[in-house]
Amino acid sequence: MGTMRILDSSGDTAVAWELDDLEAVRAAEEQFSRLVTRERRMAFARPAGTAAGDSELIRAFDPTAEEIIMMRAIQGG
Amino acid sequence: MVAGYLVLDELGPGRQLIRITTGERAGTELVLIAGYLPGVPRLADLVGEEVAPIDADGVAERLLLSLLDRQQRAEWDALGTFCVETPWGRVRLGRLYDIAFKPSGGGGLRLCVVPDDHLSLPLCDIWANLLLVLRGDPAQFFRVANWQREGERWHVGPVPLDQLNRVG
Repeated sequence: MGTMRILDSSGDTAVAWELDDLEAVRAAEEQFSRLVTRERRMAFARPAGTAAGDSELIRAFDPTAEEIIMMRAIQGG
Repeated sequence: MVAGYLVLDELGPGRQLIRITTGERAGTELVLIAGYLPGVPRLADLVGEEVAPIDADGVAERLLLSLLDRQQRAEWDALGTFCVETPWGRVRLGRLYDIAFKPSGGGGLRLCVVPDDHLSLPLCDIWANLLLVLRGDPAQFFRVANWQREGERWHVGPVPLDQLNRVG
């Protein structure tokens, strides 16, 4: 099962899919694209539970990723 | 089954604006009133199940801890800050608007970098966000960072990495 965690005011909201559930995969991919293009989110994939050093910046939705974390764009404060 | 809700605003004594986050009523915003008022439905009656507030800070801290390596976690537990190594030097995260940067070439800077709309995020989400950017795209971090040398005024990014790391 893959999970996409979208950072928000509740901590994060999880979107999950099974590889054989094409509808769930498509819905997750659409949400991924929307977040990247409209909200300029940055996506990091990692094997579930591993430290940030094992994460990888991804530009396209990967349904085989165990966990995708959708970060917000950053700016100077 | 326990549904979750998020407190959006404290409206006054015993009154909170909340958003239901799970179940069929997810997305519904309403005012939660403490205690029982005759004629006013209970939240559990509206949602159809018992409800509990979401511990956003706890959720964010669990994510952050899962992203830290052993050394960073020990620092976080002891100091409330942790270091991230980058190709240009060491960044210490944990103080909002006051990120310490030790360039490889020596000296030190204060940096200020935040995620978009950062005030809507639990604090630990801010550090998780910046940690992952530093790991996955450190150049972007330094490109947007506002920076300050001790005793000087703040400068708008990018941080002058070449100048800082030039060995004199």
